[in-house]
Amino acid sequence: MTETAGVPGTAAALGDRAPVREAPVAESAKPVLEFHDVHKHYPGVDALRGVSFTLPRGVVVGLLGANGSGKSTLIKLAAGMLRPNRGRVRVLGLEPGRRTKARVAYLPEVDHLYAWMTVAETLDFVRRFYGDWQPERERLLMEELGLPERQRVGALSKGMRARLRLVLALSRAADLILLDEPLSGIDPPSRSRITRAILAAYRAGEQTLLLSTHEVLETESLFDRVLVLDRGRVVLDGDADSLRGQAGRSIQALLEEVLG
Amino acid sequence: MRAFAALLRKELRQHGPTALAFAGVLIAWAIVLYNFKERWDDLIPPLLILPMGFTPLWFLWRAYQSLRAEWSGRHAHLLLALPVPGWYLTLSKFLVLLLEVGLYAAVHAGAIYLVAVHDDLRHFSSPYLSDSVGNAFIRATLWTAFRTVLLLVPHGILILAAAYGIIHVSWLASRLLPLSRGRRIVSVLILAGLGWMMWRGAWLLGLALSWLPRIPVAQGMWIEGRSADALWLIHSTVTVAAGPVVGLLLLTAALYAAGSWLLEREVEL
Repeated sequence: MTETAGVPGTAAALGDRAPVREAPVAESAKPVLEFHDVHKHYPGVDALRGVSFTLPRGVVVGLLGANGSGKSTLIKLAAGMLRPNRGRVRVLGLEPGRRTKARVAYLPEVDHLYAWMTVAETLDFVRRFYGDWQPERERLLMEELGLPERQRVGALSKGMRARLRLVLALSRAADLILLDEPLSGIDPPSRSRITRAILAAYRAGEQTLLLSTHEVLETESLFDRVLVLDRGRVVLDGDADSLRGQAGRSIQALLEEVLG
Repeated sequence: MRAFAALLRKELRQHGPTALAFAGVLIAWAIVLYNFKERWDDLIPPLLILPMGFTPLWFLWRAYQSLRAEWSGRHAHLLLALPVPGWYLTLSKFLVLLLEVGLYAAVHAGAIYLVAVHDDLRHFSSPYLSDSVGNAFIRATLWTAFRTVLLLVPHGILILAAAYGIIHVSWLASRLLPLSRGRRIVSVLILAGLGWMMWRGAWLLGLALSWLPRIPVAQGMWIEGRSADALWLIHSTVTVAAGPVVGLLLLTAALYAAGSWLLEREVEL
């Protein structure tokens, strides 16, 4: 919202009853994800402590940090799976909820698929809920990741299930893609295959991709921007190329230095 | 509706095999009873009704499990990320559970008819009634029973819907508390409290809505007459006050709305 306090003739000067109108903002110019002083507590743990940042459209953001730093909590807040105890989360200017879920693709850290469904049934089930599903992209991802359509999900290996979850998240033209540890527990050859698939499916300039990972070496080439969390606080937020240039080394090395 | 249909189909696929397996067990039980009906004559009615007695317990258990399994299997991450109203999830689960209970009820009804009623009707004879009057009596009896079932079904569905809503909301409400242990106990306590509130609420609303006309719940029939030549079949309709029924309906709708709100806005993963 435009700051108007104290300016004669503005809503603030006219008093409380004066209507405050936001200037029309083009959809593409709106921030895709905003966190304003967000706090999230679990019993005995402060998962996030005053996190603030804004992500514009069309960037790939690496969300990095040690275990327990608050990465998954942050992604769940953006996905509408959690609600902040304090502060404000906005997705495309909206409070996370049913409307934002239609425009956000979320890949959780956990294996959330039904073991009794086949791969094809899983895709068929999920695609019915989203108007932005891209059949062509689904087909390409299925080919790239080598998933057998007729196999039951329960019979797939952990790596194959991770690939299927990725197909579900990336087959959509969602405004915001949230990937929580997509490479966790995956063997190195599969990791590079998955990274290639992410890169192939991502639409530069149109989608915002927030990727939480520990596998920085494999993924840092993807990042336009890096957000580092440590014990619930943002300790580093910057353009990936600038950070590399300033530090004269990789994001991985920088991360090791920042997190001690 | 496409999204709701997808959820409904998912529930059917998920629970269909179990329901069909149980229906198969019930059919097998009925076949056993049919073959031993001469030998177990007096035991047949209680043995026929026995599995029916477990159906409400089975319904309650399945209602609890249908939601719990989504959490324990981590599928809640998939379901709660879908851009659908919470009541889509609740109603799709309830409808499939209702179909399951309906299937068991149909199998039970078929078993009771074939094992205990069919032969008796076929060999029906009375020293007081001619064959044509006797047949007319049998037809009237069956028609009365059929109408009673038709009248009772909506009330049964309402009671099951209320029970399902109570279980659903209790489970979701227990998820709001930051507990590491004892969630089941809390869930049961909330369930008992909600059940009591529904009961009292329906009673109070019944008083407020006492001006509503009475509604039929069953069909009765008996014979009157002085001799075999002058008999009348008297039909009567059993009615109950509509107030508590409408009250329960309103409270159940409110419960589903609360469940939907909890799923969409409050429950966290």
